[in-house]
Amino acid sequence: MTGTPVGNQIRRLRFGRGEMTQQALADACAVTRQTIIALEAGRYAPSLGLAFCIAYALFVRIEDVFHWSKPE
Amino acid sequence: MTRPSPRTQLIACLLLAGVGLALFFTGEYRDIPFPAGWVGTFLFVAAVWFFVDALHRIPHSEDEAAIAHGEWQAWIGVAFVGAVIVASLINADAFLLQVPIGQNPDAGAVGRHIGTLFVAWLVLAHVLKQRWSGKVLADERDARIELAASQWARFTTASCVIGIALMLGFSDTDRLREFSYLFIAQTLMLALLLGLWFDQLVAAFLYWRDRRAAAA
Repeated sequence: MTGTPVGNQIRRLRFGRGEMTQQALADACAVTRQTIIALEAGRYAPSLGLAFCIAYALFVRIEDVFHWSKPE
Repeated sequence: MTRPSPRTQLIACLLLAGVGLALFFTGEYRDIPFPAGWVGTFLFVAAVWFFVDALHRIPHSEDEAAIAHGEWQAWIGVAFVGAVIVASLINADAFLLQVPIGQNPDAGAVGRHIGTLFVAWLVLAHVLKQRWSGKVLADERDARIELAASQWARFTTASCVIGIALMLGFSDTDRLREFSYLFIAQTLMLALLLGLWFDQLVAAFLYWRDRRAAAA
């Protein structure tokens, strides 16, 4: 699981939602807290299902959470 | 007298387990008036049991929470399968006798020791799973790590089997007569164990690498 071109705003959006904890987001999407940590650190690209679930839990659209950075 | 804290008990159990493993691996070769191998096995299993009990009573720490359940299981797998491989290699000569396993008490004893290690591993893995009960134990990231690890394990097992085939194929007839069926069977088992060990090691490494990069 090396660095991924899929970036995200999960950390910023979590704090925007009343400092939602990583564990709370993980529970909302039925994943481990370590997966949320890996996502925020850009170490893991989620499946489409998980990406939608995270966006739903943060009350935003998927494109507001995830963006794709074209590799150089 | 006050009871030692769970953390002190945990460290004491780890030390006891270490002494048990040392006796388990080397006891049969020492000239001492008691069955050190069996004492070592008993000590190791008892230490694992109390270790698990002490682990249950320690509250979840932030450091522990940062490590995924899959990573704990992978590191424990590395330790136990590694111990089984070392035990198999140290006692390899017990499998050289040209007799069935039923008539080879040394090979039987090695098999029982290895079986004990596997049982201890299963018990520890089960209790750790209980400790994480009510939480998500694995998700799509764990599945992806397991897939990568199993690909490396398959490659390792295939390489070992090819190595054994080449060794047998290129050995001359006199040399082949020295290999008992039991020894060849044990070599094949070792190939499987190496594959399993590599599986656990690669999984543990991938978890650790991600965790380290996220912490940086």
